[in-house]
Amino acid sequence: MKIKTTILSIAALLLFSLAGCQKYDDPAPYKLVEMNSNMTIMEFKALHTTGPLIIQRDDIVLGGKVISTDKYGNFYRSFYIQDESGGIEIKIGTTGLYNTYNIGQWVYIKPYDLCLGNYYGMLSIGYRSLNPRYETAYIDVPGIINETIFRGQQSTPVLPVAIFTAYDITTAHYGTLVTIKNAAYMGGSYYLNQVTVAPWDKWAKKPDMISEDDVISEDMDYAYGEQRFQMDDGTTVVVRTSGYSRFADLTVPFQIGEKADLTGILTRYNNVPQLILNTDTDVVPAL
Amino acid sequence: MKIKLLLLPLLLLLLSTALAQETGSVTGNVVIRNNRQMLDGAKVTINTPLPLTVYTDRGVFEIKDIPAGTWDIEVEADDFTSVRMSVRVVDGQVTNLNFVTLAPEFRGENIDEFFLDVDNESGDNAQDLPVSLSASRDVYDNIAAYNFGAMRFRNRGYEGAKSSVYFNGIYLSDAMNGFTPFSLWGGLNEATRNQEQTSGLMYADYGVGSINGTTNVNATASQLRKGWRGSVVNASGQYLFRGMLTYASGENENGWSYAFSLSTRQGGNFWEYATPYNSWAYFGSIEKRLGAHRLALTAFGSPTTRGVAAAATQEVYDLVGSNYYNPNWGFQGGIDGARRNARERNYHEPVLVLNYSWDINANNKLLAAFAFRFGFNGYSALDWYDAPDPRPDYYRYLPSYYADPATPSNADPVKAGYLTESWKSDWNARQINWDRLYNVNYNSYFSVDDGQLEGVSTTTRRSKYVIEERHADQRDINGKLQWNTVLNNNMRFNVGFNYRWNRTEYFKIMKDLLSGDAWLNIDQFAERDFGNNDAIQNDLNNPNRLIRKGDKYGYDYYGHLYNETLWGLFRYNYNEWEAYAAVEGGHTRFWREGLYRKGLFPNNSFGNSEKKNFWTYTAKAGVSYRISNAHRIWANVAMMEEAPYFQYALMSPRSRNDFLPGLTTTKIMSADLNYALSFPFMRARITGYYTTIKDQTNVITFYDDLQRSFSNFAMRGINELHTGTEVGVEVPLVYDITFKGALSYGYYIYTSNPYVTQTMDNNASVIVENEKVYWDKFKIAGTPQTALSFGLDYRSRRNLFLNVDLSYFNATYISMNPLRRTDFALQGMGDDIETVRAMRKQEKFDPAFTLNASIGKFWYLGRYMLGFNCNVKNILNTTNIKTGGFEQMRNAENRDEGYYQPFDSKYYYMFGATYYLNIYFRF
Repeated sequence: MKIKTTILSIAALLLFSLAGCQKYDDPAPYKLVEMNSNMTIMEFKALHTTGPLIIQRDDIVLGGKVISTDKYGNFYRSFYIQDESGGIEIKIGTTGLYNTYNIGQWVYIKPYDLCLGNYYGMLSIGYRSLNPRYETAYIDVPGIINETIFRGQQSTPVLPVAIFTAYDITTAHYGTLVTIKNAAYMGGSYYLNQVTVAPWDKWAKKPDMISEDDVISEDMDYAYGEQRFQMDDGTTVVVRTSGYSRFADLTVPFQIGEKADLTGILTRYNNVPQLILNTDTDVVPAL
Repeated sequence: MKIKLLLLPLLLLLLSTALAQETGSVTGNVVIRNNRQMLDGAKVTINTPLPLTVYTDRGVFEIKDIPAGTWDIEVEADDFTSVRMSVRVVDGQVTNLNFVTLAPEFRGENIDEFFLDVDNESGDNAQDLPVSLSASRDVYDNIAAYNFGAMRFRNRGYEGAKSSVYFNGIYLSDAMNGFTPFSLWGGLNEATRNQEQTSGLMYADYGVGSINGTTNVNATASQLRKGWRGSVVNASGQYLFRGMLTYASGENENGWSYAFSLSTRQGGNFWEYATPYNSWAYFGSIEKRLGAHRLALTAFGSPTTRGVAAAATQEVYDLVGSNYYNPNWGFQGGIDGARRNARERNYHEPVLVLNYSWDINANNKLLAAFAFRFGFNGYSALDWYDAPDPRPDYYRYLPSYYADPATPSNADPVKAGYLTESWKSDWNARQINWDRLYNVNYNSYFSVDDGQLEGVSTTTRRSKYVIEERHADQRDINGKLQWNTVLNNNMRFNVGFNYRWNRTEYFKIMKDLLSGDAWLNIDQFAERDFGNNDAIQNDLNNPNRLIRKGDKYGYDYYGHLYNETLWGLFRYNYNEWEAYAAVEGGHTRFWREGLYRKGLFPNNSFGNSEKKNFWTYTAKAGVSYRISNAHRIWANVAMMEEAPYFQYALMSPRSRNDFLPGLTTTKIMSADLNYALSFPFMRARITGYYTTIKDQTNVITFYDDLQRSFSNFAMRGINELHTGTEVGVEVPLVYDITFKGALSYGYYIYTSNPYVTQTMDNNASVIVENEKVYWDKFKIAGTPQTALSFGLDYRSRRNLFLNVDLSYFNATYISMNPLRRTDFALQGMGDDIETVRAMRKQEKFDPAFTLNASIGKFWYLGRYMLGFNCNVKNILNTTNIKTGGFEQMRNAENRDEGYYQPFDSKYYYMFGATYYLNIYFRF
């Protein structure tokens, strides 16, 4: 009899302990901000003259939709926003940005104490840099990000502006989403350890896979790839792709001379126009 | 079969020696000194070659069929000082001892198992600290167990695997890593109270043992003291509350006895945030005696979930202003929400033990035992995919990242200032920001290019942050057969055969998707490097599998192990001499069986690995000489070859079947010399020991956040020297006050330069191959090498006990990162002696003092007994005592200068003042 009682109480105890698991309620979704910009991106960029500019005005609010994504690895620690006037890079410094700043989402910037700087012709918003090689540094620190960068409502993605020739490109196009139309593939190269390797028909240089002893291995060499496309007026646009991008190892799907439409963020390195792809499917054969 | 053939003639031989024995009986009464009450349930053992044990019934005992001769008799009872006396047994006569008087004694209760969560970065399971959990009669052992434990003291500097732990005579130390198994019966302090212990090199009656003592828990129903026992604990060191109720029936006329115990421990400790403790325990045993046969079935388990704290760097402790900062938790639902710990141990490993014994005659005894351990053992952790590191103390979230000379291009005092400010003022920066993790998941959906996955659409939420639970689920069977025999009054012989089968499944499951719908079973590190192809698959046999809550993912493999040992123990005594010889021969076979076909290792991950075989032996011998009643001197020596442990045998067990190159047995040589004196005015023991351990392997697995992957240091050829002295002294002073002191003065060093190979779980590239680690003469970490404790005990005749003691610890060293002591780590640094020294220096912690005190009293109320004890540890509330720490395993590569720079070390601190109040009753 006593044994029965014992067994029963053990069983009861076990059931009780299994029920003891703690449950947590899902937290509330973050509230997205409602703000109005009071300056366009181009007006803001015009504040830059020469050298880094630390913004001292605390009343500026910029607003734009996100046009880049780091999901495919070709953007890293920064993203671009675009308004009706133009676009600009935000050197936020954190990773996995596409989890927080979706394409088409409104983002507002209060640039007080941030820095507007130039890198070979491209302006970006970042933190003031202590490294003389750069005019801006990554913002990095959550405490600063929380005071300066605000997530707004999700909206429709920005449509790219079509560019056929160099004459279509104005200063306002740099840092915005464009489609380079009807450009002929001219081949590519990559640059690693002070050596330029050409021809190179992949978007970038990933580590080489080595298969031996039933295992797949790799060396550790990554490099940017540069694929050249020529617009109808003969101007070359360089498609520059990170070795860390997901599609780095894919072959450019064109023969030399074949024509393509390429959508990406238009940038420049001095006077050479460059295009940064969000992903490889943004490149299609020209009609 | 072969063994049977071997044993049979042996048995016959032994039986023949047992004929025609002359026997007599002993009777007596056991009473309590204070009130002359008869003491029920006292244990009376007569140390004949095969010791006989009975329990008093209403104070009376009788032992029959004792071989004629002069024997030691020992009378013990809980909370009483035991009594030893000599008794002469005459053939055909009854020797009456009349009254044996026992004086009350304060014996603290068994120590709770103490967890050493060493892993922080690695995926290993935590290990119980290998202290002995019950008070021993030896002064030194007793003090070491009670007072040194808080400092993570390891006796003689050994790892846990060097102590052998048995339960009802069956070996239960962990098959895969040798860890002591105390957590299996955590919370069952009362049911497991009856323990036999030997220390150092000494053998035990049920096995040859190793070099750091043996513990056997006697917990069959008849071994528990008859009656009800209950206790309630309120404490601050590990848990807040414990309740425990135990009953043992004692043996009835039909030979039946049964016992059960239930217990719970709840609430966290007072020093760390968010370390919940929810532990239950159950125990049941039933035993039947049928003439000379006994059969007992015992079952127990300790289902537990508890939050774990992690070590952090001093920078973090200083930022937060507490050395008990715990990075593993955060608020969920804002700072008014719940405190949630990401790292929880969650286990329930029931054990069934079946014992059979047969007292064939006064000189021969057969024992058989079988144990089965099963259930689960999980340990949770955050996992994330393509999203920022969620751990608050990730090095890039610390101010030092912006002041680190290793990365001058990041240096920025303003950013460092911002981070300092948020660490000091913002809970979301200081702890895990669960709300942010959920919000990322709310916002994350599978996209069209996530492959053509069945059951997925662009409205399926793809979790970026999840909680995984890593499992090491054992199925462990131990069988044993043992024969004890007395050849004559001077010679005794035990022989046994042990068999072990273990299959441990290592895998992880999705514990919580944090409101997302699914996760994809691919290897994200490989995805970055190899793009989208087969190489990224965790399991090519089930590619692109969607993981829902409760599913296995990541890795999944079995460790298989078989082990057989045959052992014998021979004891001889002649006048003042005693000697023994013990030998054990064994065979261990283990292998890995992959259950996933890993994309990176398609032909080397699924199915069975090579099977590793090891032949092992232990040989021990000892001799003891009693110079007089007051002086005894004894010495032991042991030679052993042990199989390596499965857990430290594979290069990267999560991903592939490769064993460490040159895997071999560990060779141990150990000797000790002991001297004991026993005068009315002083009792003492002094021991010197010397041990070498050679050819050890170790695999350190850690999360490398630079590579965002698990990385492994596989080391081989680790040699150690452990030498030192132990002293225990007890001196009765005046007025029932006794001085007690213990000293452990050790010297534990590495004596070789082992070789390390570094691999990644998710990449076949060997990062460092067979690099020499300059460890020779470096210190063994994780324990104070000097520990001293002395104090005063007071016991009044009114059952009041007081104790106060002071402990001192020194020579505690940090656990080393092997890579820092290689030539590889010196790349680009130049080789001037100062640079090399700075890189290789092993940190020694400051010496520490602690003051502890306890008080206890109990009352008899008729047949009831009520008592309490209360102890306070670290009364001075010292909060800067480092009990341990480790150098972080990853090294930052200074890209600007091209050399390696170590990360800051992480430390554990002893809690400030803690108390433990236990109120108990018995009837």
